[in-house]
Order: sequence, then C-alpha cells, then structure tokens
Amino acid sequence: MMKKILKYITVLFLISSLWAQETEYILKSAFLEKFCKFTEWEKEKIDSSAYFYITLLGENEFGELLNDLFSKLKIKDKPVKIQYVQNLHEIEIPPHLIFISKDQKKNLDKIIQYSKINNILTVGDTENYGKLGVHINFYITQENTLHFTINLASVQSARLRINLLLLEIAKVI
Amino acid sequence: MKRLLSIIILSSGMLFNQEKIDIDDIRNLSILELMKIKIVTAAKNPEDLLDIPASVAVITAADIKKYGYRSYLEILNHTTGFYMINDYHYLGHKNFGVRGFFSPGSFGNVIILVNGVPQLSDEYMDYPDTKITVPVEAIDRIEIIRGPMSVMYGNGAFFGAINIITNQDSEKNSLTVGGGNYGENHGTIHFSGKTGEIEMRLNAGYSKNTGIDVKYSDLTSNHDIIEYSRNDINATTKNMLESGKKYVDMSFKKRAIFGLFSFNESFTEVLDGIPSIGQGSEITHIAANMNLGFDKKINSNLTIKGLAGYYTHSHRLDYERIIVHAGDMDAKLSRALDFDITANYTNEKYKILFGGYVRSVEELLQIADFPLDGLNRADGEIMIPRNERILTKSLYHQTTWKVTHKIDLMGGFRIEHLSPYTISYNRGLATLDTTANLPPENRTNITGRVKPPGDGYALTPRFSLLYKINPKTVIKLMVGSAIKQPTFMDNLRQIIMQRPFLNVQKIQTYEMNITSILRQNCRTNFSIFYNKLYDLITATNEFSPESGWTIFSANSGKLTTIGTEICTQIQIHPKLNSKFSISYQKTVNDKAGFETYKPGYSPDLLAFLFLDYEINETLTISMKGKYISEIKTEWVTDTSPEAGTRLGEAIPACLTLDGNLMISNLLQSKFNLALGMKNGLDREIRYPTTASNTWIEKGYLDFGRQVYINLTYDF
Repeated sequence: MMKKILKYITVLFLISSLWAQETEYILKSAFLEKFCKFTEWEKEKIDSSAYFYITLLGENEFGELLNDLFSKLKIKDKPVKIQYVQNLHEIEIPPHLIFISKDQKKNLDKIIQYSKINNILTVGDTENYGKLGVHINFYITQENTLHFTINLASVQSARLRINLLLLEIAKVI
Repeated sequence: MKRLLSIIILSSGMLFNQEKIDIDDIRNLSILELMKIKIVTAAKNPEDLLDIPASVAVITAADIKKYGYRSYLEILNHTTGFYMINDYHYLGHKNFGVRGFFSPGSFGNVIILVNGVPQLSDEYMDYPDTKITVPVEAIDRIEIIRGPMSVMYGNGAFFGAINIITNQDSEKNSLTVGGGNYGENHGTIHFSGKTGEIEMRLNAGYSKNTGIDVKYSDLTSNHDIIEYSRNDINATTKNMLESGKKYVDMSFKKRAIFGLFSFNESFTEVLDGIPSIGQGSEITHIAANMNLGFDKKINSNLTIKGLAGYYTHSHRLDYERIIVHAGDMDAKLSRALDFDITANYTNEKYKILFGGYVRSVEELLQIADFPLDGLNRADGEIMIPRNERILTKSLYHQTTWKVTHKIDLMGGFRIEHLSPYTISYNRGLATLDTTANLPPENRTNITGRVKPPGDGYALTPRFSLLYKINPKTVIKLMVGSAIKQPTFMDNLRQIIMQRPFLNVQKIQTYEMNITSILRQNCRTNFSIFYNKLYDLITATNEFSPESGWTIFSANSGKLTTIGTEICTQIQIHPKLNSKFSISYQKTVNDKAGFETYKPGYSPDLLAFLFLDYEINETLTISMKGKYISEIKTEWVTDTSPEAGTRLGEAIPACLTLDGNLMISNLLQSKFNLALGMKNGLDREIRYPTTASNTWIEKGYLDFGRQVYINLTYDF
C-alpha cells in the first residue's frame, strides 16, 4: 500500500511541478525591464544593433516568462530578443544584458571580463555574485521582498551608467 | 483507503502562501512598488526553514483564515504526525499522540509556548488545553518544531516544541464575532498601537459551546454503570460536556525591553469515572502569566536575551456524580517563577549559544474533598510545605559550525538538575470542614522527601549535520534525546506506596530529513525517523508467592517507532495551492512480556490534504481532509500480560473533510466573512477509550457536522 501511495505522490508531484508558476521569477522579469530602463549603454552599443538583446546564461529558471514579458515591449526603442545559452562560447552577438544563473559560478570571472569588454549589464540572483563583480544581484530580505545590490565599481568598469534613482534604492557595494 | 487515494490524486496537494501575482499585473508597477511585494510569507522563508536543524512546520494567520481553523488545537490536529484523542479528561479534554506515541492524561509530550513563554502546569508537567485558551484569531503564526527539543526547551520536549505567536504583527487591528451549531459563539479583538517608542498589543477573546448530545448508551454497553450513576438508560450527555474560554494578553516593547501578560480562564464539563448528572461535572481553570524580558544586541556578533516570569494557575473541579450538588470537589493552586537567559554569538563560521534556566515552583497545593463518598475515599490535601520549593536549574549550549558552504554541523547539550523536595500528604485531617470530626484511625499524614535518582542530574545531548546538496536541497541528519521528569504526582504515588523514586523518562531519536525546493512553488519535505522511548513510567505487575500480584509504577515502559513522513506543497496554478502529507509509522512494544501486543493509541497511517482556490481577489474557497487508520486501545492486565485484555474497542479508520469560504472586503467594506463546515461528511468521529473513563469502551464521540459563520472587521 505504501508503495502505491508513494507512486501516486511522485506522479502527482511531477505533474504539478510542471504547472507551477514561478512567482519569484515573474518579479525578477519585471525588475529586469526596470533595470534596462534605468541603465545607459554606450551610444554605439545601442545604435549598432537592430534589437535589444538579453541573454540568459546557464539554467533557465524563468521558463517562458522573459519571452512573455519582452515580446510585448520595446527597450531603448528596439524590439527585444532573448537568447538562452549554456556557456559564453554559444553567444553569437554580445548582448546588452546577461542574466547569470547560479550554475555559472565557476565561470564568473570570464563572464565579468566579457561583459566589461562588451559593455554588457550583468544581473544575477546568487549569494556573493555582487561582491564577485556582477553589476546587479538580487537577494531576498528578511521581509521576503526582493531587493538588489549594485556593484558600482564593476558597473563603471563596464562603461555603463546607472540612474541615480536605482542607486538610491539599491544596496550599493 | 482507495477513496483516500482517489481524493489525493484528483485534487492533489496544499497551501503555499505566495503572493498571487501575474506578469501583466506588475508591468505597470514602479520599481519601489516591486520591492514591496513579498515573494514568500515570512512564515515560509525557504532559506530559514532549510537552515533549521529540525523538522519544522509553520502556520500563519493567512493559513488560519484561509482554512477556517477554529482553535490552535484544530491546527495541531492537522499537523503532520499529530493525531488528537479527546477523552473528556478532567484536566483537559484534548490530548495528542505524536509520531505513534500517546501518553494518557492531558497533553504533555510537546512543549507549548505562547510568545516564547512556556505554558507549563507544574502538577503533572503538562500543557492542558483548558489552561491555554488563546483564540485562533489572535494568532499571528504557529511554529511547530518536531523532534526531541530538550536541549533548547528542557524537561518535557519529547516530540518538539510549539510556539504560538500573538504579538508579531504590529499593524493589524481586528474584531471578530462568530457562531455555529452546537451553541458555538465567540468573539475576539486584536489591537495594536504605538506611543512614542512603545509598541503595544492587546488580544482578548471568549468562546463557548454546548458540547455533544449523545446517549450514554452510545458510549458504553455497560448499562449497569449508567444506572449506578442515577441516570436513566436513555439519558444523554446534553449539558454535560459544555465548555467556554476567556483570554486576554497584553504585550509591550520599548527598544530592548519587552513585557507580556496573559490571562486564561476556562470552564469545561467533564466525564470522570462515571456518567455525570444534573448540570454536569465542571472544571474551571484560571491561569495568569507575567513576563518581563530584554533582547539586547551588544554588537554585530553578540546578542543577549533574558526573560523572567511569574505564573499562577488554579483549577477547581466540582463534581455532579450520583447526587446532584454532591459537593465533591478537587482543587489545585500553584505559583512558579522562572528566568531564562541566553547569549548568542554569531559570525560567518559559527553560531554559538549559551543559556541558563531556573524554575522554582513556590507553591503547589491540591485539595480533594468527597464528603458523600465515605470516609475511606480520597479526602485530603497534597502540598509542598510552605518553606519548600521544587527547584529546577539548567545550563545549555549549542554550537553550529559552518564547516564549508555546503556543510553545517550542530551539537548541543543540556544539563538539568532537579533539587530534592518534600511532599506532604494529609488525609482525613481537620483542615477540611467536612472531615473535621474524623476519628484518628481514619487520618493519614505522610511526608516524604523526593530524592531524584542520579542526584537529580539529567544530561540531554543533540547533534545534527546539514548537507546542502545545492542551494535548494538540504539533507539533515539529526540525533537527539529528550527527557521527562517524574511529576509531582508520580513522586507522591511512590511515597505513599513506599516504592523507590522514579527515573526520568527518555526518548532517543534518529532522523533523516530531506527538504527540497524543487521549483519556486513546489517544496517537499521527507523524513525517516526512528524513536526509542525507554524508562517510561507505566503500571507494572509483579508476582510474589506471599502477596500474589501487585501493581505499582516503575520505569518499565519501552516503545520503538520507525516511521516516515512526506509532505509536499505545490502551487498548482497561481490561484490554486495544494499540500498533502502522509505519515506511516510502526510502533512496537518492547516492554518485557508485552512484545506481542500492539501498543495502544498508535495508528499506522495518517494523511492530510489541503486545497485552496482563489476565485477572485475577494473570494477564496478551501478544503482540508484528514485520514487516520485504525487505533487500538491499551493492553491492560491486573496479573500476567497474557491474561490481559484491551481497554476498549478499536476505533476504525476515519476520513473527515472540512470546507471554508472566505469573502474578503465584503461589499467593498472592511468586513470579511467566513462560512464553513467541519466534518462535512458527518462522519462519526470517535477516539479510543483511555484510563480516564474505562466505562466508555465504545470510544469517545466528538462533534458531528459543524457549520459556522465568522465576521471580522479590520480597522
């Protein structure tokens, strides 16, 4: 009987997991749009591209959320293209924003170096990513709200400008 | 069972208290507004729960509203591993078995705290529901920590600790009134305010119900006892099981200083030994707690907390048995003081806690007066003499070492010392009016000094290892023990019977727990546990050719339970939450001579199912279900084990379903309305008989279908 119960639980669990909506990532998607709005790239970087590119590097925890949100939006007056890649070598066109997943910790130095050269805003949601050079890093507060750190030195070295409003509300490190 | 499985499959899983947001809803929000949205409730902070070296369940005020819980006891009764047995017991009706172990009497296997304050009753070292009357509407959250917790909470935390928090949310004010069938009515006020730097909270509430109305013959086939009690054979329990509760708590906080006061009063009609008559036998409990504490952060690493308390508790049980207004009475008064201090040191590598606790029972007096029962019965008084006290002192320590970013090791211990104390037992003395004229040969005066074995010292260790497979999955290996001291009344019995003093009862637990957040809205918790309880105080039968069979209390009980629990929470859809849990456990009696008899009150299977659906912003519908497999009663004997019998009938498996409809902001006002039903299938809910009322061999009955309405005004 216990075997049966466990079997049913497993099946149910898997089915339900597929249906589950990523509440946390819905919020993160919305934040990404705001970050784009409050960040300035070099003029050439924006002008030279027909699209505004966002790359998700590593495990995709957003599901279809980024496509759903950004398919309806324009950023810097350009339609948005989302790229999903597992490592840096797969990136064909240097994007404007890279979201770095948790599983990329071992490649972080290379990614930060790449973004520095290519004027790319980096965003992550992993403990210590901010200290390690990721420009904007999400963290969960004690009140269970989503806040973020900004590594100002790293932002400046990538030749990006972040609006003062964003700096005022972020934890600047 | 098939039906249970079908329900689980069709409806699937329970609450996961996420904010219900959709990408289209939040596109137009400002970044500041986005930063205010909670992604998980404080109660269910995954990181917090992942890091706690114990199996933890948290129920929030939102859960309570959504599922229409009517009391904290109902919450416990829907907690994985817990099952209620209501035996109309004279100290408190509702007791719980936990992870296959049940101890008759009132609830004493888990520490119950309200706002961190222990609600201990010193006489039996228990936590009777009649003494803890906090209304459910006053509760901000309940934390249920399973597993032996004596290192942190001391004597009695056999299966964990429950902390009921009523002073957390400082911005919520509400007034609730409600009622239902079985004469149920209640009201609660929940108020907070701030004056300068002082934050204050007030909760007050009352509740009342008429109890069940069933024929005594539905409880017992023993018609002789019904007639002996001067009842007609068709007599019922109408007006015999009424109950009511009152509660007030006040708290304040100013910087590092805080204070708490609570007042609990209840009346509960009971059945004790035989059927009641007249207006029913009634016990009244009055308990007041006063606490003053501080919580001071000395620097970024060190925090010191202290909490001092003064507690009074009295009860009076007026019997209506055999003769109306018989005057039979049993009363108790106790006063106690305690002080707990802890120092917490935290840095990146270590969390180190040192603590000390002292409890002094300053007064403990029990008076029993049964004038119409004859001279040889239990008239008398039991007390600790005025210059005596029961003093318990403890030192405890716990260190968590972050060995690597994946591994945490935690170890701790508690040394508890119970000082010797004196018990005085007087029977038939002139202190009671009704026995003033007793002849000397009917008087007894026994005074004994309790000398706890092992010079009163007891050591409880605890150890756990947390291994984070990844940021969302943690394996916890936990080894722990807990103790329970013989109670004041246990020791009195040994003194009267001139037997050796009893040792502490012990539990040793081994548990592996895997907590995993597989996806943001899907969490699972899996445990395997092995509990070994030994030195349990039980009735022991001994044969000697000179005196035949004699029965006395001894540390002879041994039980072993092996079990598994799985609990899964899934947000199936942004508007549909689910949770289900199953516990499967096997308990074996290891007491010499009783190995072949399955222990009583230990069901093999417990299952819970919770579902809630948010129809729209103001309308939420929910249901919860519970399944308990068959429960047997205790195997008892006056002589040899094989000559024994079950105390009463086994209670068959039972499935109950509850439903609740919550309407928020009724007609765009500040009123919230809840309509609900308990035991919607109108099942006959029975609990197995216990030593409290062996004549109820068919089992104790609980409410049938209950309907209720609740109106809350938020201000």
